[in-house]
Amino acid sequence: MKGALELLQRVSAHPDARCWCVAWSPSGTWLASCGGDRAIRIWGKEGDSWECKCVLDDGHQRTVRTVAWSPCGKYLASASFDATTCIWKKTNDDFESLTVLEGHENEVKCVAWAPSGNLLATCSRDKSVWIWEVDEEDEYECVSVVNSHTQDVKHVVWHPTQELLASASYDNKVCIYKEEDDDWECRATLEGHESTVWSLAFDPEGQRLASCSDDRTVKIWKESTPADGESGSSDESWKCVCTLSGFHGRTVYDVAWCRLTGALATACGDDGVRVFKEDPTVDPEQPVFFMSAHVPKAHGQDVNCVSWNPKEAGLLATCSDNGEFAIWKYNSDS
Amino acid sequence: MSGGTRLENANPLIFQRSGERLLTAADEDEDVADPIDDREIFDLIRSINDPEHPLSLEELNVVEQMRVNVNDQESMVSVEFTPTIPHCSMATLIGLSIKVKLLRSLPDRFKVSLVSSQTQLSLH
Repeated sequence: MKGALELLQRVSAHPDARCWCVAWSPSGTWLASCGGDRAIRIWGKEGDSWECKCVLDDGHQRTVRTVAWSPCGKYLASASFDATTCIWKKTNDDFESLTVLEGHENEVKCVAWAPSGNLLATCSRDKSVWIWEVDEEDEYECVSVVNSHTQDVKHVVWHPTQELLASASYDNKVCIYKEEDDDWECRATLEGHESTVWSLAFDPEGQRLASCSDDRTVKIWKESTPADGESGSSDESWKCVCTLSGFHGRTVYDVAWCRLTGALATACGDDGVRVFKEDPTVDPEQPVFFMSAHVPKAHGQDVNCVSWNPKEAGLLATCSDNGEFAIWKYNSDS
Repeated sequence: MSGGTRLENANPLIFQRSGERLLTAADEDEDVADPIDDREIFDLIRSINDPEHPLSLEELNVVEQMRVNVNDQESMVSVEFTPTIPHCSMATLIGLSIKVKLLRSLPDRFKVSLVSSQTQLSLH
């Protein structure tokens, strides 16, 4: 039952700066990385090693915090501390800047594409979450600004199948948003973490949400609808069905749920990368996760981001404050 | 700090500064690596100024060497600091000053933990 993480390659992607985020393209063949050197780099595999194919270093004036690929793989969105979000379009061998989304008052922390490809969400230290719509002519328009958080919003993520958005904040809460009459509003607030919630990930079916926090835990939340006959609002409520505590030595900065295998990977401030698997014999209403693999010093400094390859099962990318990213192979039975 | 109307603690107790570090023969030897120890961390933070008074954190006993714990091998530093009064509203600011000073002075491999503890004096 014990798994293992094998290091395949370590790359010094953003020298003398933090590497904040790594994101696989939907085809699984490209890896985008971004960092404190204000650049985005696109990496492709040549033979056995990952090589830099493209450098986008004139899009932002400050740190690039998150990069995200559109579901079709033709566009890349980058969120920056310069308060803008840049949309890049893939041309033959390069990317060109298509448009720049402005509006946030200060650092944009995260950007995410909805699975439909028509919606984009951004969040910022200005405490707001913005939802943007894209039309056929590649025109972007802001359709909603939601102010449900009372502090810096760290992360936004879309549900894999429904039009539902979740956000995580320095105010220790997670908010769930749905569209109502052409306007997006917060439908549920998940409380339970004792400190900043850094990141979120939905499971492959979209039935559960994983959140990770500065309180060194990972929580799993499940939506529960009121039983028939119960009075009250029709709003669904989310309950915490599992808490993974005692595994992480410091802040957990990122969590990623593999669409292919269901494995849960975490990035931690103690420089470690961990993979958790669900115990299949246990009642799904009260899931139990066990730690399947752990690399204590995966990087020389804090691990900021962890990302599963969408096409190759077990392929994991991680990146760190020391400017490196690493590619790992996870085996669930070693 | 600007615009202060009332001071949090108008009459703080002032402590004596401890002397400079005494160098041993091993310290002077260029070929021997000096591990980072409690005293070195204390020397980095002792002269940080208090937000309210023209005194250092050492002189107000907000930090003392005994409450600094360093493990060079594990690259960990923990500092427990004691504001001069309970429920000090500047405790977060003091903690941040100590943390940033250490993050900027120490090698990147270090993890810094800060804890604020209640003062041992009770001001009833």
